[in-house]
Amino acid sequence: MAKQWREIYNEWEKAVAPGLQQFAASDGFRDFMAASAKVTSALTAEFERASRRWLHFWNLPAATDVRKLRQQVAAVDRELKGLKNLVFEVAAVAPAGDEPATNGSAQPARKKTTAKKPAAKRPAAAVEVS
Amino acid sequence: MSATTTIKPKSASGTSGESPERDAELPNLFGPYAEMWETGMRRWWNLTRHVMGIDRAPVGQTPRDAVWSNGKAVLYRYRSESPTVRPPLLLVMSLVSRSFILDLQPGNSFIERLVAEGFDVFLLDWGVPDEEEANNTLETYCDELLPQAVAKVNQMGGDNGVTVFGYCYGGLLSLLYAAGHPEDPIRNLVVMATPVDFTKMPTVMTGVGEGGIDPAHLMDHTGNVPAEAVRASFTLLTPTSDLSTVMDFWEHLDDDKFLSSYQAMTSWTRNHIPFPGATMVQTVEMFNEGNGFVTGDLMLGGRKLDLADITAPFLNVIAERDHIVPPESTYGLDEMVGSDDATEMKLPAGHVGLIVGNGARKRSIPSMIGWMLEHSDVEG
Repeated sequence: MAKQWREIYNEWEKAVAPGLQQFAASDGFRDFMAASAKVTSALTAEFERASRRWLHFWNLPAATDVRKLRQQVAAVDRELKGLKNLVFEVAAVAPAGDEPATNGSAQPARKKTTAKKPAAKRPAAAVEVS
Repeated sequence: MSATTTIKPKSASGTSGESPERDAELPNLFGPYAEMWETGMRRWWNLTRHVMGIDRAPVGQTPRDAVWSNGKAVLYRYRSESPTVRPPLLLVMSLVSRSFILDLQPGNSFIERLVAEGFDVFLLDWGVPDEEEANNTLETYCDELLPQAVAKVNQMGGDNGVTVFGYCYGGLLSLLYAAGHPEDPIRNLVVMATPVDFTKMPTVMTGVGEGGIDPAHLMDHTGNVPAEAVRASFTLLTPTSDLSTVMDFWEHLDDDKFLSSYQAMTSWTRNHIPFPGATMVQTVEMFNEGNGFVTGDLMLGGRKLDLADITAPFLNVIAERDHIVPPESTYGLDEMVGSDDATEMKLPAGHVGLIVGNGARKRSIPSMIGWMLEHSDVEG
């Protein structure tokens, strides 16, 4: 009995699945998806614009403001990551104690410390995950 | 079961039923009902704990340590008492799916098997992108993160080089990285279920780009393609698969082992991760529209790449029943790379079946391990 419903489903699936797959892979479906993505995107933007105007009228922050802030933080993070990578590259290339002193003072020792500093930020120590 | 015991004397035509032989016979009369009761109760309990999220099947259980990270990318090293295979193995995961598929469950884990075979296994997990990663490009992965991770693995593995192993989109990243950094210590390169000829990929996967869906319309407020959209694209490849999965679940609900595997697999198939927006746009341009691997029009960081610059021993693993990356879209890589030792390995499995399940345990994994052992130094 338990198998009977499954057999019925399997038969149904065998009959329907190829057609559905073909439809999902068709150009018509792709065009429909493209159009629906475009409409959804436009409607979302329009709704956000309207709600933002309303919230700003009451001097309240909108989701788009928070989003903008998050994007700015992300940009700062990216920049920081870029600088960190740059420091590592310089540290990897520069032989220790062989740095040209730019201001005339004895710089090599100091340079070495700067290059090592970010390394401490990395989770070099093993962190147990499981 | 106690209910069955009390009914026993009655069922034995009024006799006392004290004899052990008689007792042993009696339950047979109610056997089917007892079984039905037990099955029903187990189904009810399994359904309850599944719905309530009680005692869910754990995934990714092989012990590991995070040894390096950059942003959200984390490099893990799997604990092994004494790795006997050199060089170390670096697994590079796809950008859109969770890496625990490589270490699904004890006894059904690719990584567990590799560790048991003596490999020193590392896994590069890209993490879940948000606004910070929205601007990540292929250069971020192939020119920054992968070289750094490979250098770290090489250093931790005693400067013996690294076997780089890319799965699906991770294979694509590994190819771009290897072609762009021929000077890096790549001892072997293995790519598995990796798309090469994008004209032979399913329309659902390549329908983004010129004449199709505008990538910008797919992105959410974080600037990434949301995980739901990624999942939907996979679901559209086999539209009835979700329903079939539910049917399987209902059919085998009384089977604890099945439920455990079901939970582990669905926690992977239903939990994709967002695709970084800038990488998506670049992938659409370079591969969906430009079919870069086939036309040779590959650019990374302003320089032209040539797969012929990959000279390390090379293995391309193809899944014969792959519906995500069909086999016809993966052929020919062995001729595109510049390696003298390039192999194409076709295995009777699906996209995930290469590393998960009985077929993987018996055929796919041993075949891949065999090739890697042949191309490594094995101690003892």
